[in-house]
Amino acid sequence: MTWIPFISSVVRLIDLHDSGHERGSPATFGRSREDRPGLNDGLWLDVGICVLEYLRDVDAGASGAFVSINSLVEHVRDRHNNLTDDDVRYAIAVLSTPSIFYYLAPDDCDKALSIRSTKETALIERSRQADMCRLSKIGRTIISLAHGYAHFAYAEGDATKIITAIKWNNFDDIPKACAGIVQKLIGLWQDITHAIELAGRDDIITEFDKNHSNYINTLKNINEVVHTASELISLQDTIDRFNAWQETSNSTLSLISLISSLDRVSQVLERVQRKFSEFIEAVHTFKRTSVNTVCFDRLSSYLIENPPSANVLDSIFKAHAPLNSTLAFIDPADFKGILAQKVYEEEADDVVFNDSDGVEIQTFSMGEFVETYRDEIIDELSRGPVSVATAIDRGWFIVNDGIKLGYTFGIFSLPDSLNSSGVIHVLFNEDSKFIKSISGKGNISGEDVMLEILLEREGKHK
Amino acid sequence: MNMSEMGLSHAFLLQHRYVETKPRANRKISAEEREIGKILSMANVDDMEAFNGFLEGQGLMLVEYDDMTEGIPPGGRVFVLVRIPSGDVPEFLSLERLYEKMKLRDNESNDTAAVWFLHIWLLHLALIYTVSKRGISEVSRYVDAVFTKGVLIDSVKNQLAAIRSGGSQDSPVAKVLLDEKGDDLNRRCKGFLDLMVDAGLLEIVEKDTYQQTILSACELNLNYERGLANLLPVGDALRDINGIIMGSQKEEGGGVNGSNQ
Repeated sequence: MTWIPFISSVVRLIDLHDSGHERGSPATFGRSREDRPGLNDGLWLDVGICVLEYLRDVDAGASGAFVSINSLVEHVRDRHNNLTDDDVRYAIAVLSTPSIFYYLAPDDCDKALSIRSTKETALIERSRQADMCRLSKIGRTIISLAHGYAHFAYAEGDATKIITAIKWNNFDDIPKACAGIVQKLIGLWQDITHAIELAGRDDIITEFDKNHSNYINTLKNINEVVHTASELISLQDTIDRFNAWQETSNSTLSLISLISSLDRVSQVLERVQRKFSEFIEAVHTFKRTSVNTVCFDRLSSYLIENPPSANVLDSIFKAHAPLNSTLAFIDPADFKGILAQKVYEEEADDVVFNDSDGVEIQTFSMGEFVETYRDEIIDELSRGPVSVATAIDRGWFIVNDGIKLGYTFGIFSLPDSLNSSGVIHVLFNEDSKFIKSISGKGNISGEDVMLEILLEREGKHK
Repeated sequence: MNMSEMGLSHAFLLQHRYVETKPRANRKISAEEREIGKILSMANVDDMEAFNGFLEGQGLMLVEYDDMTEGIPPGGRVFVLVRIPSGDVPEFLSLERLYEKMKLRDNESNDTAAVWFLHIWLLHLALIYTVSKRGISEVSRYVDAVFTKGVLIDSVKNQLAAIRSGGSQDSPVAKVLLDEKGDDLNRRCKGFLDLMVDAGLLEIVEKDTYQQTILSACELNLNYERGLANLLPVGDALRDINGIIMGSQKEEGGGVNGSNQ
C-alpha cells in the first residue's frame, strides 16, 4: 500500500500552502513541536483511504457508475467496527467537498508569476438526486499516482517495462504492466468519446488538437513495443527461459496467458486508434454548432401555457415514448412444466402399399349391412311401412356375427343408403315406442319410427 | 446467426429492447437474455447487416456498445433496439400501456394520461440532463443520470406550486395537472417510473433509485431532431422565454462535483 509514503511526502507542502507566515519575518518554523492539528491518531485518514480504495475497486468493474453510499459505509465499517454510519459519512463529506487551492504559475507570455487557483480538489463526486457517489476525475488520478501509475503520456514507459520484464525473466510483472496499459487506453478511449459527444465545443477540440500528434505517436509506439514483445515471447530462447523460471517460481502463469495479455493490449490499442480517427473526422466534418443544454423544467412550464399541437405531440410520442409490443410471441419458457419437449423424428419409411404387410384392412360395415339386408328391407317396404320394432324382430342388426344396431338406426335416419329406385320417407308417430330385448345385450327402447317407400310411378301414399 | 436465431433475437428485443451479455454489479441476467446475448455477439458482419436491414423496415435499429463504454463491465457487451428517425413506428408497438399506467381512474381520458406523461417525462429529463448541464449528445454520461423517486415527486410538486403561483392556472393543461387529490401525485409518478422501467428506458439501481439506461440516452440523441427538438419554442417565442436553451458552458473539470451534504 503506497498511500502513506505518497501522502506524507506532500504534508509539508500543504503546510506551506496553509502557512500565514508574513514576508520579511524571521525564518523560524512557527510550531514549537512536531505535532499537527487534530487527534493525531490517523483514524480519519484511514477511513478516507478505505473509502477511496473501495470506490476504486468498484470503478474497475463498471467505470463511471455511481455507487450507493450505504454499501460504501457498510464496507468501511467492516474494517472499522467501532465507527458509526455518520463517522464514515463525515469522511465522505470531507472528501467530496472541494477546497480552493492557490498556487503560482507564469503567464504564457511574460515570465512574471501570477496567482492561480483550482477547486478541483474533491476526490469524490456525489449525485445530487440520489444517495450515491463515485470517484471524481482527480480522485482517479490520485489513485493511479498513489499506486505508481501515471498519465496516459507515460503509457509508453509501461510498454517498455514489458520488454525489460521478458529480458530479465520477471515474467510475473508482465500481466500487471499489460493491465496498466489497458486501463490507461480505456481511459483515453472514454475521453475521446466524451470529446466526440461534445464535438461542437471549441474548448474540447483545442485540448485534443494541441496534443494530437503526441497521442498518435504514443499509440504508435505502444503498438510497436507490443509487437516486439509478442515476437520476443515466441522465440525459443524465451520459451526455454520461461519454462526454467516457472519451475523455480510457484507461479501459475502460463505462456498462453502471457500471450493473451499482450493480445488484449493490441486489441484495445486498435480500438483506441480507430476511435481517435473517428474523433478527427468528427471534428473536421462536423458543423460547429454549440451543444446546447435544454432547461427541461422551464420547457415544461412553457408548454403548460402553450400546449403543443396534436401533430407535434404525436411526433414526440412516436420518437420517445415508452411503447409496448402488442404481439404475443411464444416464449419457450411459457410452456415449462406444461409441455414436454419431444423431438419429432421423421420416418424414413417409404409410403408403399405392400400386400405382404399382414395388416387387416377393415371394410366399411355400413356397406356390408346394406348388402346383407337391403333386399329384405325393400321387399318388406313394398308391403307397407316398416318400423324399428319390425327391423329388430327380423334380426336386421346382425352383421358378421356382430350386433350393429347403429347401422340399423342409420338406415332409419338415412334411408337413401338403401339405394332404392323409390323415395323412402321417415314417418314419426309420437305415441309409438318400442321396447325390445336383445339377447346378450339387454333391453333397448325408444321412439318407434317407420320407413315408407313411395314408388316412383304411383306417387301415392298408402 | 441463422434465421431462427434472428427470429428469437427479434422477439426478445421487441419485448425487452435491451440485451446485456454480462451482468453489472447488482443485476441478474436471465438464461434467455444470456442466450440472445451469445447469439448477437457471435453474429458476423454480414448477419448483422441482414438483421439491421430487416429491422430498418420496421423503423428500428440495433446498436451495440462494448466494454470500453462507461458502465459496462469488462468483456461485456450491450445491444439496444432503438427507433430510427427515418422510420415510422410499426403498428404492433403501441401506447396502450402508457395510457394504462398513467391513468389513475378508469374514467380518465387518454388526453389526461398524455398530459401527465409529457410533463413528468420533461421533469425527469430535467433531472438527468439539465441539472448536470448535460447536452443531449452526451450519451456516455448516462452513468451520471441517477435520481430517487422522492426527488422526482418533489420536482413535480414544485412545478405544480409554480403553476399555482404563476398565474397560468387557467390554461386547460394546468387545469388537468392541478386537479390532483391526496396521494394521486405519488401514484402518477410511480406509474410513470414503472412504465419507463418496463420499456427499458430507466432501470432500478437501488430501492426507489433509478438510472437512465444507455438505450434511453442513445435513442434520445438519435431522435432529437424529429422529436424533442419540435417542442422547443421557435423564433419570436424563443426571445420571450428566458433560458430554455442554455448556452454552451465551459466545463470545470467534470460534471457533478461536490455537494456539501
